[in-house]
Amino acid sequence: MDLAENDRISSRFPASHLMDNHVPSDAELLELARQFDQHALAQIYDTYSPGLYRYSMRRLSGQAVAEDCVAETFSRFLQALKDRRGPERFLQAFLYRIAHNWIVDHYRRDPGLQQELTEEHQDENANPEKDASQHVLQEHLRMAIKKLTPDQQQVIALKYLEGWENEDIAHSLKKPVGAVKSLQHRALASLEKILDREEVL
Amino acid sequence: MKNDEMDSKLKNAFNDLQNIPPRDPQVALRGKLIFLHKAAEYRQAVSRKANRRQNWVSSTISPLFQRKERFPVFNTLIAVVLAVVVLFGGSGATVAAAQGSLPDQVLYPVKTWSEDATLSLTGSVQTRMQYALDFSDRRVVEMTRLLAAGKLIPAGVVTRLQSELDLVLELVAGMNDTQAMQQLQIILQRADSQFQTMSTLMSGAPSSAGPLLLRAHARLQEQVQLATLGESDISGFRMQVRQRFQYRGGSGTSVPGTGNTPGGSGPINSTTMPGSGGNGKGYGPGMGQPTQIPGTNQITSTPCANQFTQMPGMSQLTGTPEANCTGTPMPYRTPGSGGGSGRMP
Repeated sequence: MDLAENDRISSRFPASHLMDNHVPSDAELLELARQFDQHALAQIYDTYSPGLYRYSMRRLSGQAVAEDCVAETFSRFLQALKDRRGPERFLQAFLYRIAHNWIVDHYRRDPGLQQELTEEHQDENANPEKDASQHVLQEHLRMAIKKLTPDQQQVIALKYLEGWENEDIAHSLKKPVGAVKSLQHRALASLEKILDREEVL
Repeated sequence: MKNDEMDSKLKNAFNDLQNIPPRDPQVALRGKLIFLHKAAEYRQAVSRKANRRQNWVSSTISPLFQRKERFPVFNTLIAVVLAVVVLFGGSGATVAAAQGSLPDQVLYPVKTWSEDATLSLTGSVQTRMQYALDFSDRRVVEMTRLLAAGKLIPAGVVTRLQSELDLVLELVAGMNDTQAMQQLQIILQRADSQFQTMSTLMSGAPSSAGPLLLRAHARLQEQVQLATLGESDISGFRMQVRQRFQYRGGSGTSVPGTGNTPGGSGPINSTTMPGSGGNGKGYGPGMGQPTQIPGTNQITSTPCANQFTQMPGMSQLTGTPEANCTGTPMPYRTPGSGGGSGRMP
């Protein structure tokens, strides 16, 4: 980006703009983020990292690995901005796509990954028996989701774990809404089959 | 198993998966700092690239194809380049390796020395200002990295940041109106970003780092306010900067310190230290002289004026005491003399 372009953008969206009560749109944030504006990037991180962390935790189950996923997602986002490959719109969809790809790669690298023991499993007030069975069920469900195709995994995770609308999922997958519905239908059928076969449910 | 039963059990299983333990706020903050630090590094790389594109092509390649009268400029450039090669050629790799070093590392003095040399050897005011901005970014990145690594911030880093910010102000105040207005936008944007980073750092820093961060924070806030003032009232801005350096005995050549001591960035160079009261090579007429601009008064009783406070109901800027007190009186702008920006970060 040359200096003239920098000036043009900063005059349109001065960084101090983010300090007042104005809530910038994704497009405004992205335009500032392309200049590596710290305000905009901090706002993007604050807005999306909690959701990305939850998403990673649900799919990966370990806190450390979920943090790795979030860190790598934002790192790849910066790299994309640097290479001018970043999104024009739909920032959320873009970030979750990166996180999803990282998770798929993560499982590919080590398919036999076991969940790490975290502190939530050592809660003294909890019912260990119930917790254990719930934990086993969650792990089975995670493993079953892992056996779906990457697109199906993404649809299931975004639809049923994150509560996204089909339109948003379509942006994340870069597919039409009809294709998302079809993926969702097939994914549920596959999940039921897998879990039924393993007599989990 | 029936489909309905499967659906409800699946639904329950999905619900169970939604219960996750809360995120550790310290880990989250650390992740954010690392992200912002990386972004600052990328921004430096991008701005250097843009600078190089503009200056290399316009000042080096183009003169080759211009008329003969321009060759002296080219010759000067060649001389500078040769001098740099002779001076730094042998230790070029060390200098390059030092660029990513932190104040607690052995190569850090090389880094600060190379920055000082760059500023000294750069003739163009705009390019110097760009370098000073980049170097101030570096200081913020260094503070971020030190805190992320759980290390202490040497006071020299903050001092150096302050002197770089001062240099930026001096340089822009010496430009003509059009140039100054363009550069003020860039300064404001950078100072805004640095201010934001500093605010983030302050929220998660250990108490031992508090006073230094507060100092840097206050100085950046002042930079934002001055740049904002400059955008709306360039003469007022010039007067503020002039007053600022006049009362510090500023010379207009505030090259940051050399930082020869490992573990610290070194003090600011003596060219900007108070006491001289001289004109030096400052910008514009009247540097070092008492200045009274029509429509403005000057307060001298305020012991420290590194922060401005917007007075309710009128566009005045008054000095208030704060931690980084330099004893620099700031001018008091009477109502109707142009008005402050009213924008507070």
